Parts: sequence; C-alpha cells; structure tokens
Amino acid sequence: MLFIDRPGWLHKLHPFTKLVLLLLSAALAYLTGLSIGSLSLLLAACLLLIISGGIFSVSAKMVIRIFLPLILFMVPIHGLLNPANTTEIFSFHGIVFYREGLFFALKTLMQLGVVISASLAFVFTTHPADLITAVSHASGSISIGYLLGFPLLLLESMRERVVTIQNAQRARGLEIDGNIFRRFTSLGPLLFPLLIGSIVGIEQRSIALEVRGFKIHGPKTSLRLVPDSLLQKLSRRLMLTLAVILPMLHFFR
Amino acid sequence: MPVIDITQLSYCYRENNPPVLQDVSLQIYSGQFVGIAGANNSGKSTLCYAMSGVVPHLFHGKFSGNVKINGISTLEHTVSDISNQVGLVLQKPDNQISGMRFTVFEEVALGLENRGFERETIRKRVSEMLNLMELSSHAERSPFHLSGGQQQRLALASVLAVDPPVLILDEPTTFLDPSGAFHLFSILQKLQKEGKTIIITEQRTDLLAAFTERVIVLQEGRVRKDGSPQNVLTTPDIETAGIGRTRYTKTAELAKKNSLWQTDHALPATLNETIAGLRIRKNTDDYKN
Amino acid sequence: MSFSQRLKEDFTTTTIVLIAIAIVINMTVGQVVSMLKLPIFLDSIGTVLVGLLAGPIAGGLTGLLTNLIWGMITSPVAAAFSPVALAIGVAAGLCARYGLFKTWWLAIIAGVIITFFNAVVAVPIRLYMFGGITGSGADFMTSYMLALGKDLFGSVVVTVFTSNLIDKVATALIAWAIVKALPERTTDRMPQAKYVVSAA
Repeated sequence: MLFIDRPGWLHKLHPFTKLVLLLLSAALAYLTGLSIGSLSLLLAACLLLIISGGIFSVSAKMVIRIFLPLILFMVPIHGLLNPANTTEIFSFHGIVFYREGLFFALKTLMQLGVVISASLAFVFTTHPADLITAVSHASGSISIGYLLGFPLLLLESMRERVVTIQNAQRARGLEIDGNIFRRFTSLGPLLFPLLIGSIVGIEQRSIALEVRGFKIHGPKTSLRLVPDSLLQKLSRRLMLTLAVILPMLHFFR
Repeated sequence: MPVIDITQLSYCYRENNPPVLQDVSLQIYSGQFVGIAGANNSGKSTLCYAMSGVVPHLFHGKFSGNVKINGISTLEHTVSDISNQVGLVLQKPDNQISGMRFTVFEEVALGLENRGFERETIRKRVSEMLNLMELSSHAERSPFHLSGGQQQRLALASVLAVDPPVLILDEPTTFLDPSGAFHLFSILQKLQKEGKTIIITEQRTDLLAAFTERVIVLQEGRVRKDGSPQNVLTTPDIETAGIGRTRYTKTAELAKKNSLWQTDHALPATLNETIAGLRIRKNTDDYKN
Repeated sequence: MSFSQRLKEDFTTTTIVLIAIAIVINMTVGQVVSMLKLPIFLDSIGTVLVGLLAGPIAGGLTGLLTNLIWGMITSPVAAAFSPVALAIGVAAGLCARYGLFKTWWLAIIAGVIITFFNAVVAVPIRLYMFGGITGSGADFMTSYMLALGKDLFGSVVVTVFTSNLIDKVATALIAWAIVKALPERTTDRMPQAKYVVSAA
C-alpha cells in the first residue's frame, strides 16, 4: 500500500475530509471551466498541500512515474495531430507543432495534475484501516469494511501462491516460449488451479465469518478510533456544497 | 442436562445424494474433552457443522432430527447467536482469518466489536487471549504473516474471545506439524481444566489417546463406537473404520504375542499405560522368581 | 420485494466473500499472464466471474472496488477508470442472466458485448479526463487513427474497442470454462450460477 507512516497534519485529518477535498478539486479542475491561469493557482494549492503534509518526496516520485509517459505521448500526439490544430507555433525538420493541440495537452495535464496530487494527498496519508473503520462506522455495515480490507491484506499471500504455481507448472514443462497459440493453451493449467482453488475456498471462509458474528445485529463498537471534529464535519459540508454549486454556476451561466 | 444433545440426526447436502449423517444420537456433557475420529467422508465435518448451526443454516440440504445446545434447538437460532454458545475452529488456518483487520490484536477483537463490547473490556479480553495462546509477541503483526500453527491459535483465540462454553474444532491439526499439533492440544487441555467443553475431530489417535476422555468413531455417517479412548482406540475393528491404532497399542499387542503382557490386562492406548502394563508383567515375573 | 431488500437477499456472506476473493484474483492474474507474454491482461476475470456467479450488481461492485483499491495501492490513475470496471461487471452479469454464457460460442458473443459496454464508459473518461491519451502502448493506435484524419472521438473509440476485444473475449471464455469446472457443491451456493450451469 502507498500509506506512509509519519506525523503530519494531513495524517491527522479524518479520511472523509481528505476524500471530500479530492472530490472538490476534481470538480474544480474539470467542471468549472477554469483557465490555464486559474488551473495553475489550483495546482499550486495542491502542491502546498503536499509539501505541508510532509509527503513531497514520495509524491514527486509518483508524479514523475505517472506523468512522464503521459507527457511523452500527449505533447507530440496533440501538438502534431489534434484535429483542431490550425496555428503553427514552430516546426522542426518539417514536423509542425500547433498551438491548439499544445494548449489542449497542457490543460489536460494540469487538470490531471490537480486530481492526481489531491489523490496522493489522500492515499499517502490515510491508513487503510482508518478508512475501513470510517466507512464501516458511517455505513453501519461490516461487509463494506471486509470488501476493502480483505483484498489489501490477502494480496501479498496470494502473490506468493502465484509464484508457487508458476514454479510448479514450469517444472512440469509448461509451454511458455512456444508460438502464441501454444502459449494460449498454457493459460488453462496456470489459471485453473489458482482460480478454482480460491473459489472453492469461499465456503470455508464464509463459514468462518458467520461463526465470528459477521451477521450479528445490534450495536457495534470499534477498538480503533478515527478522530473527527466539528470543524472537519462543517468543512466537509462546505466543500461538498461547493463541489456541487460551482459546476452548476458554470453550466447555467 | 447435556450441553449438546443430538437426537436421530440425518443430513444430506443435496436432495438426491446419499446421506452424510445417518441417525446420529449422542449427548455431550459440560466439561468433557471429546475426540471424534473417522476416515475421510465419514461425516466428521458435517457433525461439527451440525453442532454449531452451520448445518442446516448455511447449507440448504435435507436435515432431520434435532440438535439442542443447552436445551435450545439450533433451528431456532441464527449462526451468529449460536456462536455465543459454541466456538467453531476449522481446518485451514488462513481461511479463518477474517481479512478485516490489519493486526493480530485487532483480529481477536473483531468478534467483541461486533457484539458491542466496551473498548476497555475488549483490550483486556484480547490481551488475555493472546497470552493464553502464546501470541502476545505477535500482537502488532499482520494475521497473514503468521505460521500455520500460529494462525490456528489465532483462530482459536478469535472464537474464544467471546467466551463460548463449548469449543468445536474440525481437524484443526491437518496443516500443522507434530509439535504444532501437540501445542494446540495442550492449550485445549488447559481450557478444559478452566471448564470449557471441547469437541475435536482428529485423525491422529495418539493425540486423542493422550488428551481426550471420550472418543466417538464415525463410519459412513453413523456412530460406530463411543467410549473411553482406552476402550475405543484399542479395539482392532476401528481399523476397518479407517482409523489407525496408536503405536503403543500395537507395541502392547506384540508384547502380548510374545508373552510379555499379562493376558487379562487390557491393551493400552498411551505410552504411560503401556509402560504400566509392562511393569505389572515384570512385577509378576519377579514375584514368581 | 423492494430493491434494497433484494440487495440484502442477494448479498449473502458467500457473495461478499466471493467479491473479495474476485478482487484479489483481478489483481494477481496479471502477474500469471505476464509470464506467457500474451496480448491480453485478463485483469477483469474476477469481475466477470462474479457477474456469472452472483449477478450484475455484485459483478459491478467487484469491478468498482478493484479499481478503487488499485488506486490506494499502486496509482490513483486506476481509480479514475473504476466506472469502466463497474460496467464490465454489470455487462457480464446481464449477459449471464440472459443466457449468453450457456455455451462457449455464446460466451464469445458475450465477450464482444462486454467490450462494447467497456468502450461506452471508457471512451468519455479517456476523452474528457485524459484528452484521449493515457500514456500506454494503446496511444500509438490513437495517434495512427488521428494521422489518418479521424477526429479525436473516433480515434479513441477505435483504440478502446480494438485494444480490448481479444482481452475481453478471452476473459469471457475463461470465466465460462471456470464456472463449468466448479464442483456442484460450490455452484449450489452461488445465487446466479444456475444461468450458466443449467445448460449442462
């Protein structure tokens, strides 16, 4: 998981507060028709959030990983080929870059930058267990906590099982280098033991959950505390309202 | 009154399949340590499911007869309600980890949280359980990062946390090594001394002989034998039910063939009984000389 | 029966566990397939399986949660495509309910239908959120179509459809084969498996 365990003010916020903040920044970036100038202000605000939250270096690495391929494809494809291209900006050995396409690429990259940095501010500072507790508490349902927690927890041991199966099949001389048709026929022996085994195991897993009181009714308590405050509750309301009203103002203007 | 009272229980998983349990009647009393033995498909797991309400509540097969826990029929309660009375531990260790909690400590707490216990009570209870299961040093680890034996003790801690008077374990040692299996049995013995009723299905007769006080043998869904381990586990015909007698029984039998065993002395099932039996013979020999 | 009641009925503990397992399957199968160097990912096989075994709502939920959790553990970009994964699960569940997973050749048709649903949701996200470019190999296709003089919308539609067709058809076929291979004892517990298995 991406969560980084270190003290910081973002870490102390309730998971929902950060989620609503993410929602608001997405709404602002995509649904309010911001100009490049306002988008850069919004992007700067996100940057400030990340720096003050103490997650700058990890976020920077992630942003580079996500944006490098995007920029590499986005700039030439739109700069050269965007159907709206009319105004030449510069040419390089007969390859012509156009203003419209480049602007479109820049704007898209900035919008993505806002959403992705706001997402990172959430995922790097929120322990999944806190999110699960908050969601279970708000929904009154254990199931949703299970659906979020189980995959996160099981993923690692499942990956180990995949490696075991791969080695076993390789030892049995499974075709992994032949022509494409042969490789397709190798899919079955690789996937079937893993998939059928996991599906058959569902019976015991669900019995184990039921006998632990998964479906029990009545009030529940939680060992884990996810601190919340009136201020956060109010700001969530405010941000949600803004996330709805600002796009509407833009569309009906 | 028995804690578990089964009368004429028959069950099959699908309408037209052969029955897995046939006309089973038995009573289990408070504080007993009961072993259930039998070959694969002899109905052991199904009997465990029936005693914890999993059958018929979670399987929609054909159920007849009656299973009562502390006088109340399992049909009248949900599996969750029954889990307050009967804790069930299953065969595969990692299938029993809830997957909802990131640490061993929180995993044990889950059942208590679901039942709305106070936070302080939960902490206290979980710490006790981890101590008892010798898992305290792993409290902050991920449940998926434990060994099979540790996961099985975690599963036991998790069902035990809500303090059910009866514990049922369905072949819990299948995936454990011999020392892990022995460890689990000695913890169960400790629990029995604290007043719990323990019911366990197990293939290894030496463990049943060493720890339980009553052994029930199932064959093709019927109860074939029911009595003290020494009585049940030494009779040669349990081998036809797919159960191997302990090496101590076999040793004594060999001793008997070679006139090293008092002919009127019953065959033993444990090491101690074998030694005691051999000593009797030696003493009589010494006396004769 | 009201919708919320039906939802509760459909979501037995078995279904919940099935969804959770399927999410893990979605996230690990890629690792298996990569070993064979095939032009497919099969990263929605779990979603399609849930669609077949437990219906469109459970299938959709599986897809949605898979991508949201991917977003938490690898890269937030995956979360942006969660509506696409949802559509795949719903489509698979609907196809199964209308008998499109009874035989292997019907499953191929179902694979094409799933590809269509996939495109309907993926195209707007790719177009409006990412400007048609996602920084992957499929972008070469988009640029080729643009170079041929197609508009951005048309180029993205063609890219999304063609880059998913083989993958989704293979996914549908494998999911069908797996459901057929499951023991009766397991399919008995799955609320919708009858639509697939009963043909046998």
